[in-house]
Amino acid sequence: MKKIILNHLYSLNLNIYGDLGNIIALQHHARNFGVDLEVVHTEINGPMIPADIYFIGGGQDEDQMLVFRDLLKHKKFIEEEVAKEKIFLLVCGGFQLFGKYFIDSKGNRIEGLGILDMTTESPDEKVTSRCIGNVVVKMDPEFVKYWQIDTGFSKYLVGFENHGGQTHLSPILKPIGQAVVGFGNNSNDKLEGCWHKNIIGTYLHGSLLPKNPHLATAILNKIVQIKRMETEKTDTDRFEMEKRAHEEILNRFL
Amino acid sequence: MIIVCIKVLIFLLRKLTPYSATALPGLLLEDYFPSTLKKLSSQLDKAVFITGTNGKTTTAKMLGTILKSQEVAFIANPSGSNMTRGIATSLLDHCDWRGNLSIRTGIFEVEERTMPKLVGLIKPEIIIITNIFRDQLDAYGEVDKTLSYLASAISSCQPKYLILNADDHRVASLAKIATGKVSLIGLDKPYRDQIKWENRGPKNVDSDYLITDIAVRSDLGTEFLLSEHSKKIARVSLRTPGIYNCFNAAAALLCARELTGKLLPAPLSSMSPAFGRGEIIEHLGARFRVLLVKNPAGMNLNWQLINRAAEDKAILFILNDKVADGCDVSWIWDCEFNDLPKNAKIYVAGTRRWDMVLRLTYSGIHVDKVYDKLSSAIFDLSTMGKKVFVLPTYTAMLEFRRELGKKTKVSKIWQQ
Repeated sequence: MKKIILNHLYSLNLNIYGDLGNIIALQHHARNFGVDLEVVHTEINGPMIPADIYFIGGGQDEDQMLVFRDLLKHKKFIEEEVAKEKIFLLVCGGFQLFGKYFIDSKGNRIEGLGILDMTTESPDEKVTSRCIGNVVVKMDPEFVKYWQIDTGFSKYLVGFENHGGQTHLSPILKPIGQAVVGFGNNSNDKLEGCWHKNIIGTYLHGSLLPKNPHLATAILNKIVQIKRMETEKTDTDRFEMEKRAHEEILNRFL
Repeated sequence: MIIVCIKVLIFLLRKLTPYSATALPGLLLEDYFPSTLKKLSSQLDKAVFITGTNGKTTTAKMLGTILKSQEVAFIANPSGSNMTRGIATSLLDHCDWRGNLSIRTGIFEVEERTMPKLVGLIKPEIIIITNIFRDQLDAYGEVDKTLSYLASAISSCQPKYLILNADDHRVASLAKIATGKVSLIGLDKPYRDQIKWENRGPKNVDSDYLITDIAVRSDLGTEFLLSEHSKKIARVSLRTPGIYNCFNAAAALLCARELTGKLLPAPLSSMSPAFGRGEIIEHLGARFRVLLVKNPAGMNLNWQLINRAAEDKAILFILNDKVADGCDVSWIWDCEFNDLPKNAKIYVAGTRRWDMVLRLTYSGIHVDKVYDKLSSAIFDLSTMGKKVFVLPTYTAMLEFRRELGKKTKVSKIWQQ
């Protein structure tokens, strides 16, 4: 059977808010493609394992700091993989780590990988407000075009956000869309996530891919194109359950 | 005067709707008349707080059952309304028109985040902490934050006695900041490993009390031995299902021993499970067992239990995303469904039923039917004559009991 390798980075430390759902969803859709999705893990102090797609999720502040230090050791490898147009799906905490720097709630500045031209600041420890709640994102046309996302299913992405960190993109970095419900990257500009080469960064979890099969299959299609694999055709008409779950959020919050 | 008005309000609200007035009256007091609340709460001579993610209601009921057997009078919040407003409502229920409390001992389950504030109002002599799991993360943010709430509460009130779960490394770590007596209760190794502890797994903390020889009866009741520094001190028998309830029972026993001077396991053997926590409700040919699920740790522990039950069973998942359930339902993706009974019929309802359907389907589980209305699910399942395991989130559990209560006798939650 044809195989795609997914490296779930730091799954022991960054695994909060149902991040696993993204991998379960990719596995589910890969099966429909007639492809086997194998999951490998790179943990703290462990070896980096080359893969077709890398996934990193969110975690608690304490864990995120531990991962930050380890991830920097792999900076060169990750830069090379990004240059090779490998796919990276970054959620929440993992997304922040790919930026230029991160300032934690105590005011410490921590250098990020610097692959994405963006910065993140955590609000002061005394500020208790976090960006929490259901999110509906209207996808950016450029994002849709590059990733060949089937907007026949929906032109939105739905999810749930829960982050203290406020991320600001540089003007040249493109968002994946506009948060029409919820916050997105920060409390002000309504931009959500970003994409650069084959990296997708987002604050949506909850989990992102199960309720957004148009994105899940777009990601798989991209891998298939890069690997020049032949697969069985799929059509979005089969996403009946996904559609119910997706529309439930649109109907309630939009 | 304030108390008179609010007591009249409680009476009227409960006349109007049978499932209300466990929080609102207290909320009025908390927000608008804090000095009246202080006047009430300061009359308590002795208080026990029970907190932690899972097991608060059951532990409180167990402790209450033992104390009742000794005719110790106490004020409690059995409805599970466990924020300051709920506890204030309980105090209102037990005071006279002039605001004098008739009973001076309080046994309260307390929501974790409420702890720092509440210890300023009522100073507990004993605190029991069951565990810290991911739960309602949209409200709290993170489990380490939950730990910090508990730590700050302990530091500020310095309880005389702290009863902690030795197997949960976050909870056990609180022993370090204790100024009074501490008891660490742990499960024997094979059982400890069955529970998926948050993030870092169980550590071998030396426990003062060890739970061994757990046996699950065919009626899903649980039996175990409790040892104190390797000396057996009690054989305990519970009707409440689930190995996780062994800790709760042990904590209740030790707490009751502190209060009465006696170790009294016998009353627990006849205690029926707390509402929605393994409770059985029968209707027509169906036997519903309601097992509240709030987080992955709780969900995963159900499979072993359900697998033990006789054949011809059904599982009804009810996933809601109201505030009391946690608006974020992503936790269902962290649950494991590999051990879900293969021969059970699967039904799904709740406000986020389609999320649940996706979760199950992606794990290769066939969903037999999805219900838009809970009443239709109850109608169908009642006539099937099966053993139905109902796995609801918090508000779903209340809704299920309310719906079923229209057809058959279901006990009132504040009269547990």
